[in-house]
Amino acid sequence: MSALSDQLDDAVSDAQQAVIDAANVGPYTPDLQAKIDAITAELQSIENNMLLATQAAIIAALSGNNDKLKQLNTDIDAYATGIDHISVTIKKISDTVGIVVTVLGAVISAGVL
Amino acid sequence: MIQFKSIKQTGMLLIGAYLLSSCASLSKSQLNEVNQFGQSAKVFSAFPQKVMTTLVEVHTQNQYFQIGIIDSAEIHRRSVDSLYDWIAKSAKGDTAIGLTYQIIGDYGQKLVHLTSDIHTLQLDTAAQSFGTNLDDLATKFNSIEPGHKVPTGWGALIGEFITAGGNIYIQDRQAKGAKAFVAKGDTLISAITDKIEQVLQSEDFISVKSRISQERKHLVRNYTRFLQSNNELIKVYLKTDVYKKDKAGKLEIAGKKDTVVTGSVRAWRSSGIGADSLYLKLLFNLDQTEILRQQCVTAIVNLRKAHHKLLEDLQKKKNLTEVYTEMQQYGNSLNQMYSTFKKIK
Repeated sequence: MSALSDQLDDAVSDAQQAVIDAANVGPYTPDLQAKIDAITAELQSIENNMLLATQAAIIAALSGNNDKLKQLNTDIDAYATGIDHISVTIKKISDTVGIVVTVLGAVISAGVL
Repeated sequence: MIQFKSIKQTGMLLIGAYLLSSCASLSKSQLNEVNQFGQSAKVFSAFPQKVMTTLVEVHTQNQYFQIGIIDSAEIHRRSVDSLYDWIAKSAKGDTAIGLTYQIIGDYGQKLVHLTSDIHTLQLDTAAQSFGTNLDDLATKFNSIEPGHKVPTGWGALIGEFITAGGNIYIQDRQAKGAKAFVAKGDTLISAITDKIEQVLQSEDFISVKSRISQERKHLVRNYTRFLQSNNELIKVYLKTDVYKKDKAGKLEIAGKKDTVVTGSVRAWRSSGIGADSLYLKLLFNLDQTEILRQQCVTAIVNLRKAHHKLLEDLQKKKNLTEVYTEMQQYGNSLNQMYSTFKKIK
């Protein structure tokens, strides 16, 4: 853990403690309530930013090798699609023969042949 | 339009496939092994993503308690605005994290596609239809030229020949592809799973693990403060009530006032049940998220081992009669993660 992180952690802990202490002292004077409001809003902002930083750190850590795996995925996809060319060719031949049969049938029915 | 070159090429491939039928580089069971690994890798990404998604959801709802204690209208509204911004930004981050994890799922999906039966099924259908059409053509020809009858029934045989040869060819292509791609993928999967393991296990200040434990502390703190804040308001009501009772000095009036105050306090207590259940739900979800995080760490290690064992198995041609241990362990990890995943509300 870096020194900066330590400092931030301490600052947040202190702020949290200050809110709890203030709440336990009571009764709430308007001045105390105003301070609690301000520190609560500040804490909310800090905590939101920390979790956003966590998200950013995860993305940064994982995206390094992702492009390479993405490329491999594309290569596998292209290769797998290429395997199908034999069935695609057979289907095309079959369809052509089918068309010839249909045309012949129509010609025969029409009495041309 | 069918090109002659393409037909010729296909024919050569089929003949070649027959000649090389005994040299298929992987057995059918090995291809199934790759397929099985792909199926299980496809679903992995949902679990580490759920860890972050749940943490973000809990953090969002935790802020209801936090904002609830802010008395100043201006600061309260600003905090709600801040929550609104947070929801938008965190959702964006969550989507981006989902995509980074999804890359492993995509890899699994591609391996499934590569080793799928769909390729042979498509060929079977095309070849069968081709055989039928050839027979139909012969029948039509015979009806035109009765004097030069062409034998019928051989179309089906050609179809079967194409099916058999084509299937050998397809399996050979699948085997070569699987071997090459799993070998390439092993280094990448190893690097990516290492990173995911680090991300999930790190104890750094902004790590997932630290955030889960911090969120739990914040939840307890915020809810305690929320309750204290409500109790302060209840006390104010009760004091007002006592003051007015003393001043009025009449029991009936005091009784009426009492009813109003008691009703207000009861209403508060009643709404407190909703707050209590939200607090319990958030605590439960956080605890399950921590369990899921630990399970993800185990699973990612098992995923890496299973992939590496898969590569080792593909290096030598053999018939696999049972699921290998590493795959079983990874499968168990998936079951455990799924069980926790379902518990998160």
